[in-house]
Amino acid sequence: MAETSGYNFAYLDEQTKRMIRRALLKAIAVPGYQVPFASREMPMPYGWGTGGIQVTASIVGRDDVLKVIDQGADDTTNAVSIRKFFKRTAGIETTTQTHEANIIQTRHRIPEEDLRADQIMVFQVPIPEPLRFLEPRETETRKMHALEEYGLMHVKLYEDISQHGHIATTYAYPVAVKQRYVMDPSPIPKFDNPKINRSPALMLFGAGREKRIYAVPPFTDVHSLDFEDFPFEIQTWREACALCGATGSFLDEIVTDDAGGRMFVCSDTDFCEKRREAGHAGPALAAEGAV
Amino acid sequence: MSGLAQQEYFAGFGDPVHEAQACFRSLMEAMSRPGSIVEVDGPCEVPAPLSPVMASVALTLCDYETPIGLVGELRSDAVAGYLRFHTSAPVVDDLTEAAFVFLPNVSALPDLGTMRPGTASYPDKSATIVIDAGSFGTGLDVDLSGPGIETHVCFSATGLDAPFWRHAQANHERYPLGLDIIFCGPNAIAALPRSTKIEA
Repeated sequence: MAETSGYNFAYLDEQTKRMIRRALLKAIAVPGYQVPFASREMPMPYGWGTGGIQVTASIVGRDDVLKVIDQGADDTTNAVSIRKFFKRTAGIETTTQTHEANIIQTRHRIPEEDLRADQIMVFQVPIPEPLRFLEPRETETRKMHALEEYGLMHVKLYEDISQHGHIATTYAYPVAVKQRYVMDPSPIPKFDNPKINRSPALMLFGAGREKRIYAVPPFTDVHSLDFEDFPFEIQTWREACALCGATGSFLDEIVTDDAGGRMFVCSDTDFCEKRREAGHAGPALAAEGAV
Repeated sequence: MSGLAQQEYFAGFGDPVHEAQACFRSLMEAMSRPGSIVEVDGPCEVPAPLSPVMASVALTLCDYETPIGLVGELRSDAVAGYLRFHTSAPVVDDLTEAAFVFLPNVSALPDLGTMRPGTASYPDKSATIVIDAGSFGTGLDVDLSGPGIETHVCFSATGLDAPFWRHAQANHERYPLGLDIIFCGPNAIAALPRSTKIEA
């Protein structure tokens, strides 16, 4: 694809990049704290990952290889458009393979494959404030973070237990970072929360509409909030992936007909394809092969 | 009146976009892995006593939004002029106003209380100190731990003595408030964010 001319490398102007870079360094120095930044208008609507794109545009260099996923998939509209955007404005190489990428921009998942120290995760975040649905006023939530006053969040989780018998929050599950700031890990399933804890990779979070940047440095303690008698648990499935037979990955439920037919497949498409290439077959593929 | 003719001029980055990007990635790597030594290139010629690596950090991070403080021998017309010309950053005398404070060596370090540590609501509104540390791996060894460090990391640099590390540990104890420090060596940097715990 031809590079677009008339724009700076990676679309953003240098002053904007400097402003975002300064915010990123402060975010890394205070893990989990949301740094306000002067989010720019991007050539796409808020809600399409403008925060993540601004972070990626500010860190990316000519030698980087970018992977973009949307709910674990490399081939959805959002992921494809963002990859194209950086191919055109920065002329960089893109990939769909987790191990080839050194910057992975994501909407709502962390790849199944273990991340390495030379990789950077960039999360697209819609609502960065974990307390926002409990307290709508920014002045108040800011004070609550300053005073480390997170009782309200525990009440919310407790109410889950009293209503449903278990903590019913399944995505954007709140975490405490370095035993200080409570942070929204973005709407990833709680299945992915343990992957943030002491990960060797740097994790950056960008919220474009809400104008906040935050970060989790490598090897940082990230604890999913819970209670002694109701410990944090991740989702499990009785089924294996219908295509690759994986049992330890995050599965999406896909309705296949109007008679209650359904199948469960890996949400991480790269992980699933790799397993199939390696000869693994789930029930759906095995049945097909038998015919 | 002859000042203009006598003034020596130094270039900034040859390729501002990509050199700033490369320097930033080194800064981000250093800040996210405290105590690790990360390579940085700088412009070939800069006004003394500014080091090329320190110049590179300034050109990468400073602009009209970031008042800068210059301490000790760095408070020279040549250095202030160079940074003003290339970054448009205002050079301020009052360090409490500075977003970045540049030091020629550790002994020039002013009382940490004279620089802003951020506020409880906005801990990001804190100063970043950039110190020319001579070289890494010489001097008093300290043990660093905290975010970005898997277990422990042993760190030392020229001139970083026991009193300095006491101040740095006091800075850490104010977390989440505090100053973040970038050490510039020859062709490399290391960082000490406020989140890092220091033990002798």
